[in-house]
Amino acid sequence: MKTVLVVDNDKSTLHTISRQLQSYEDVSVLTAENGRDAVAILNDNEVDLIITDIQMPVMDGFSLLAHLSQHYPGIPAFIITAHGTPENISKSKKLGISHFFKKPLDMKHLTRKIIEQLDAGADGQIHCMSLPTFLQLVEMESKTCTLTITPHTQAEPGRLYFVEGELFAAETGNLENEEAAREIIGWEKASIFIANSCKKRVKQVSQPLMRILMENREGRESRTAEGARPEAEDSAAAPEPAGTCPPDAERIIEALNTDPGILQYGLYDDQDAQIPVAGTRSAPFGPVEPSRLFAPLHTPEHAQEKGVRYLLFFAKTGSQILAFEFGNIRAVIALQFGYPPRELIRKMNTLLAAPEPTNA
Amino acid sequence: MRELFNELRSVAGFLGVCLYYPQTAAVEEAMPEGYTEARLAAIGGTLVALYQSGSTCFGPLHDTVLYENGSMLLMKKITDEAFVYVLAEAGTNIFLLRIALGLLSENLLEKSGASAKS
Repeated sequence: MKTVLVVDNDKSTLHTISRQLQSYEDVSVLTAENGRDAVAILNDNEVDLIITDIQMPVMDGFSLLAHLSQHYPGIPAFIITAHGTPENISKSKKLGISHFFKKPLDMKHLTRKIIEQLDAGADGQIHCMSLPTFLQLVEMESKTCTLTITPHTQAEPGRLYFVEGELFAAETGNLENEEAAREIIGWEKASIFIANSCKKRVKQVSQPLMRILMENREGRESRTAEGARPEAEDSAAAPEPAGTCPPDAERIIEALNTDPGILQYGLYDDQDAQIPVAGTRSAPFGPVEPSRLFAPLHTPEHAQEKGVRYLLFFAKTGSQILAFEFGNIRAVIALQFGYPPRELIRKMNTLLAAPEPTNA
Repeated sequence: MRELFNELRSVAGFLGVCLYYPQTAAVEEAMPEGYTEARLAAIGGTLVALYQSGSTCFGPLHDTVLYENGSMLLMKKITDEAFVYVLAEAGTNIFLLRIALGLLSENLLEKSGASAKS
């Protein structure tokens, strides 16, 4: 039995797809009306294929796809979009991307593709969502966002900045804009983190995204033909991140860098952008939006609470993650298994209760 | 609830326990004085929201903990309809508390089922 999860806030679409698939006796269908409900279903069920709309309330399709890239990279995803023009979809197909289905849906075509994918199973050609597919989607949907891309082969992440679907800027290590975009798009396996804002307001990448994607595909094909190794494997040691660090963050970083119980951590500003930190323990956590983590505490009842608040999550993967919020800074910290969080909490409370040292 | 309380109070720092049903905002509790049902339901709602946002960011979770104002609240999902949370001092050994709560989860499941029927 194969399980398909259909995610759309339009109940008639959910009903139509479900009814169509339920005529296949070895296919079961689960449905969710937004990304958050879909994540809850994924937590409790084995799913073989996801079909998701992009525009949804609560948690949209972009955030869901980013979550998949981090936690369920083996699950293929089909995307339903109301905004893809025939030209865009045709170009996507030239890039080898056949995941997009435009509304109104051609149910016969969609059902055939779903069944083909389910039959192909783990040996099929479509696996999860590649970075080029995700970028195509951002362009099609005219999305304004910042993507933090973490390649699975190295620690140094990259950033892509989009304003209304246009690639405005890119950076990774010492590379910027076109060079950085080419480098990032060349990463074959990566986790995607999306923040729904973009600080860059000046377009610094002159080439259209589609051209960079095409160049990447052509380059990959020629490397395959020559039997060359992928670029990511040739990467040198990651350089230190560039940028400035807020004063409060500096003392937090110093404490975290010397704590023996920390595996890795990320510091974020109030826009969920990662604060650049030098050091091997600093790394982004994929699709983490610290503002979302703390949102339930940003209510009038909790406004009166004083002191630093800490959240601790025990994941079923065995990870133990501590997060705290101090002013505009949020930290997300992966602790070593069995490391008592109270030690770190005590240390941070002492550090953050004390005024910032000025003349000590 | 009193039985659950008695089982958990062997953990140093433990202060109280509460079952929370998000769909109805109902609670069953053995908490210190001063915690009204409305307050416990509000705390339960916040903890469920934190559990959900944590699941979204980090995948499936066993437990969620909020440290605030010198105390900690440890929440565990029992079923889709029932969560249990424990109030303890911030310095409590979280691992001991989790083990104790884990051992009681079957018992809690039975009790939440029983109270749902009544």
